[in-house]
Order: sequence, then structure tokens, then C-alpha cells
Amino acid sequence: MQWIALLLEAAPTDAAAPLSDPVRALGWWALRFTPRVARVGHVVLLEVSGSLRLWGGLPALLSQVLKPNLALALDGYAQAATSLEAIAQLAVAPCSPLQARAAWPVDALPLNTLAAAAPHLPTLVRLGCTTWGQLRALPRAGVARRFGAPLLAALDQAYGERPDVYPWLTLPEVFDARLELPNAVENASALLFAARRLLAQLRVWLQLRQQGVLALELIWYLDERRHSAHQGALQLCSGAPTQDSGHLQRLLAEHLVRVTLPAPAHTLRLRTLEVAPWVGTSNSLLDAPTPAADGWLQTLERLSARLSAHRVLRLQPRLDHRPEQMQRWLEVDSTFVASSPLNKRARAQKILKKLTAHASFTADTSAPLNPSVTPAWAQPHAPTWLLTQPLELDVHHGVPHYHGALTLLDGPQRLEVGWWGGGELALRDYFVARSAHAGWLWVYRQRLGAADTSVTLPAGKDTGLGTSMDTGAPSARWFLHGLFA
Amino acid sequence: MVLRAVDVKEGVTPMGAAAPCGLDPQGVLAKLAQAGNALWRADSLARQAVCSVVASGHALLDAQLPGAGWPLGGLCDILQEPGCHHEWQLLLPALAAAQKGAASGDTPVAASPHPAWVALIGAPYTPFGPGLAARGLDVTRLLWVQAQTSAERLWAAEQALRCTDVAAVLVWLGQVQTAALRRLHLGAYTHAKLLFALRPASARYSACPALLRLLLLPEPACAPQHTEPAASAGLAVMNLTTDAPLQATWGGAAQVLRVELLKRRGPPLDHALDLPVHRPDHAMDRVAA
Repeated sequence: MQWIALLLEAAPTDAAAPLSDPVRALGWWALRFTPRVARVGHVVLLEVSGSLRLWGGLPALLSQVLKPNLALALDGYAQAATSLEAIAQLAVAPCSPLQARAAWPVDALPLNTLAAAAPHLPTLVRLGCTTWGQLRALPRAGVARRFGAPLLAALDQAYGERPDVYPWLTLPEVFDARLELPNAVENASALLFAARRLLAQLRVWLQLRQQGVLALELIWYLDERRHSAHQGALQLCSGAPTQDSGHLQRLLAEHLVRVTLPAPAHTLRLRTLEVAPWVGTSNSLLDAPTPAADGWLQTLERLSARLSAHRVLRLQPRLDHRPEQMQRWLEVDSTFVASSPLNKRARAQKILKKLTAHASFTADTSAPLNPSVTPAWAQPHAPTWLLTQPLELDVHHGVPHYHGALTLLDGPQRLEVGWWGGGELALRDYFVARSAHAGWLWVYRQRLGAADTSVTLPAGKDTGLGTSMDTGAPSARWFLHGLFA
Repeated sequence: MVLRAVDVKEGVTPMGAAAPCGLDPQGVLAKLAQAGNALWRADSLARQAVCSVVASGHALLDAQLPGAGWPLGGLCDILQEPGCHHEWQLLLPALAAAQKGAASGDTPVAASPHPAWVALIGAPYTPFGPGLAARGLDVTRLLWVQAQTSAERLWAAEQALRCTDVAAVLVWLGQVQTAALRRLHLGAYTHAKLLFALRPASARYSACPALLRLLLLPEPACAPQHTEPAASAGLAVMNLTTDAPLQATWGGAAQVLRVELLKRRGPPLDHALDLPVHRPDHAMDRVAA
């Protein structure tokens, strides 16, 4: 049997991302060397006899264990034939990663390093019995009668005469960690400070399980003396599996800004809702000097998290003749990329919502289309800027004014659509106009007969130009609809 | 090799007395100039840009820009009078090229199967897809971020610059601090992206770390001579029953976009450039639907 006892440095080395439970994280990390890892107090024990050959012997394994590890720094280690001896050696002669120290002889180890002897230590010292060897030299029957069987059992275990049995550490299937906050937190953004430690812990777990997180939940428990909700939660979805605790932290920060706590929070809990296998990135053979850049999804998530999703838009072309219906600006949906059930669910809900929205809009005949398929959608005569709401222009003597009189240069382009559905009937004549100040404009004249003009129509409502195109009629309304920028 | 300043008149090289005899400074300069990018004389236009460039698509402008194009990795400051919008005419050819990953220079943008995105941050109006698509832009790869405040726009622009799939960022800004612009400039420099800040012309007298500063002027008075005084005659001049009522007077002739180069790596340009741009003409169906 070969046991290695590891002790963590008291102060975290990486102050930027301290772990919520560093000893547990160290235990998880040690699982890569052997499946037999146990935690005794602040000490992590590794039984490595089974994996020595795999790692190429004890010195090679030790050098692997002692390799500098970013989040965790070892304060000392000790190696012995039994677990209790390893713990004792760690107490009296810890080897540091830089400097090995000769182990004490087993018999000379002081008794206070044996946990089972602690209750009886004063008596034993008064007996003149201070080392393991002296205790072992006492008659067993007398020791058992006076100090009880557990001390003898521990001694046997320490000398390897009784097997060491520990509850071995396993990596949980689902990450679920709690953190008691050192003091009650009233401000939601201050929760982030504590959540960073949980995220760092999550990162260790993700790396060991070779998983990337897709969805996680941060739960905070509130002071129950206040008559408010006892807990609150925040769900975080990521478009693609990620292990990047920095990215998660930034996302969390954006969301926490909008949370108000009804009462002080005393405990935080972080758990994963959904994970996916992590596919590592491959490195380039050539040293590419590219700076750390974000992926598309990360950028989108961050933009939508701060500015809210309906302000980060992409264009969807539509088949229609009304300029305002030729395109639709949709939320850039980051979830359509990842194929996780949770995201699928969210997407299905979105689609359902869209469908129900469209159901009330029966005249929505304009279907989304791909502009590369239908080049006719692109219109060289169309402006580059469109006004969301057409701006009604002042008309003096039948001439529209916008920062001065407009000179009509080209037109009209006649538009007469929208009559088949419940939507607005558009009867417009589009002109290219020039303003001395604002450049080239796209204006239209609302023709008589359009839905929102109150003028009663002549009998011939069809495209009879003679009747509806009463040029210079005082009732003609002019609108600015676009700019040739 | 970077040589910051050499005093040619004094005839002293930076190496001082240790310089080999018989090596006149003019000769050294000539040699350095032949070496390519190492030397730029401040009295002439830098032919070689510090970074790779994307051709602007306007031959007249390219001739006056260092490296013959918009720099990838630097802020370009574009100033306009309020109410004037000429940005698309100026930038569209370069944006379309950048989407396809066409950059000239020693570090070309990695060609990707998908066109890259163009981010519009704080655009003043709704970008109109059909018009933009007709001018060569892939509109399905247009990201419109509706950021309201200056701080939001700066932040969003910085995020967009960091993204690998974004090729160009257009950000509309008002009065911002120079430090914020410097930060944007550094972001563009680090990630080698096209970055255009569109700002009001009133900002022309404030300091700016941009590599290029351009002022877009309202169109010169030589706009199409519309023979009929439409303003007085109203709409009566148009005979709507004919097919091409106004084509004769206007006919979609090439117009100009007047650009003043305020800052570049080279001597200041004393005259404004008149870039020919195509005005929209109604070569379209008269009655849609």
C-alpha cells in the first residue's frame, strides 16, 4: 500500500477565483491519479498502489501530483505505507513541493498525530507514553480495558495490521454546491462576489467530468425573518457548452444587476441543470498570435444580457411590396445553434408563441425568404435607411417640404398593395426627392382611397388614374419614408 | 526596424560617431525606403499602411489613403453634418468586401465558409435590407444593436470588436471622451477589425486617436439641373400616364460625394475629393402589385 497525504495551502493562491470548497476540489482533482481518494478533515488522502505502474512509479506520480496547479497550491505532502502514518508524517515532517524531507521512524511519531488517541492524550502523557512505539509496547489487554478498543484498532491501522477503509470520494453526477455567505448580503450584485467561488468550483468539476455547461441555476436563500420569499433563483443558459468561468461570470453579472433582493441572502447554491460533453479545441501547429477573442455566441449572449434580447437584431427578408413589410428585424436567437433539450424546449416555446401571434394575423401572406434564392428582393432603387414610422411632411402649395422645399426627381413608383388582407391598404406613389439640406430622400404621396384617409372616394375606386390622381389636390398627404444615405 | 526621427539636415545619423565614414544620410534613407515598410517620410503619403487594408471601392479615395484602403485595425472617424447621411455610399463597397473576407496585406483575414457579420451599433434609422442588398451587402449577416446611450454604444462596439465572426463595426456616437475613442481604437487594433465611428461634424476640432478622419460634406450645388422649377409648378409637370416622366432630366446620372480628408498618415490634403457615386434611378416597375 502506498498512501499520499496532501495538504492545501491555507491562503488561496488565485485570489481572483477562489474556490468555494478547495479541499473538495483538491479531492476531485486527485481522482485523476487514482480512484481511491478520501478526505480526512483538511487532508486529502490518495491510495496509489493500484495506479503506480500506470504513472511510471512513485517518483513520477509524485512529480505529476506536485506539478503547479492553477487554482490549487499544495502546502505540503507526505507519503507513507499507511494512511494514518501519512497523516502523521504530514504533521511532523511535511515535504514541500520544492523540498523533500526525511520521514520520521514510525515508532518515534508523537502520539498527538494519532486522532484516535486525542481524548486520552493527557492520561497517556502522564503515563510517560508520548510516541506510537511506546503505546504499541504497552500490553494490548490493558490498553483495550483502559482506553477502549478504538485506540487499539487505530494503532493497528497505523501499523498496517488492519486494512484502511474510507468512504472514497466520487465525482457527483450533478454539480450542486452550497456556500454560506460570511455575512448577509443585501445587494444582488454583491452576490456575484460569492458566486465567483462557486463558479471556480464548477469549473474544476466540469474539467474533470469533461463536460461543458449549457444551463445552470443560481439559488439564493433569504433571511426567513422577513415576510418575503424565502429563496430566489436565476437560470442561466448558454448557447454552446462552455467551461469558461469568466464568461459565465460576466453573464451572471449582467443578470444579477437586474435582480433586487427582498431580504438579505445568507446562502448561495449553484447547480447545473444541463451539461453536454465537452469538445476541446484543437491547437494550431503554427503559433497563431491571435488575441483572445470571443465566439459569436458569447458575444450575442453578452449583448442580449445587458441590452435585452429585443435590441440585438438580425434581418429576415420577406416577400412583400410594402417597404415596411419587406424586412423584419428579429431577435438574434442564439439558441438555434445549440441542440440541447432545454434549448429545444425554449425554441419550441418561442415558435409556438410566434405561431399563435401569427394566427391572429391571418393576412400574413408574406413568407420569410432567402435573398440569395430570390435576387428580386434586392432593389437598387430602394434607399438604405428606412424610417420606422413614415414622417408626414408639410405641404405648401402642393409641394412637400422637409428642411425646405423638395424637388421631385424621379417617380412615381406606384404601390397598391395590402387590399387582400386585414392589414393596411397601401396606395402610394413613391418619388425620389432631393432636399438641399438632407440630400436624397424617398417620399411617397398617399393616394386617395388609402385606408386612413377620410376623404370619400369617387365612384371608380379602381386604378383609374384620372380620378384618384388629382394632382395638387390639397388633401394629398406626403410622407418621408427613406433616405438614400 | 523602426526609425522614429532622423535629422537629415545636420547629417548626423543616430549612430553618431560610430557610423561608418562615407555613408551619407540621404543614402541611408534611400536604402531604408527601399526596404519597404521601415521608413515613412512625414512629408509624403504613407504608401504602406501599418496594417492590412480593405479597399474602399472608390478609386479616388484609395489613391489618397495610406495603403490604398481602410485600415483593418484602427479607428476611422467619419464626421457628418447633423441631418446628413452619406455613410452607406462611402462604406458599402468596403463592408461588402470585408464580409467576404477580402483584405489585402500580409495578414489576410482567414477565409471562412460563411460571410462575416457587420455590426451596426446605434444606427439612426432602420437599415433597409432591399436597398443594402442591391448594393452588395449580405443583409442576413447584419447585426443591428439598438443601443441608446453613449456608454452602451461604446460597450457594445467593444464587444462586437472582440467577436471573431464580426468583420466590421459601425458605431454612431455623439460627443464622447477621447479616452473612450482610444479604447475603441485599441480594440480594433488588437482584433484587426474595420471600425468606423460616425460622429457629428462638430467633433472635428476635438482630439481623436483615429488613423483616418473624414468629413462628408453636403452635396455640392452641381446637383442635377432639374430644368422645370418643380417647386413652383408643383406636380403638374409630371405626366403620370407616360412611362418615364422625369428620366430625361435626371436619368440616374452619376453624382458626387464630397469628402474632406482631415487626418491621415501623410500630408494633409488641401482639396476635397469628389467621389462619384450612383444615384438611385427608378428602373423599376411602375405599378407594383
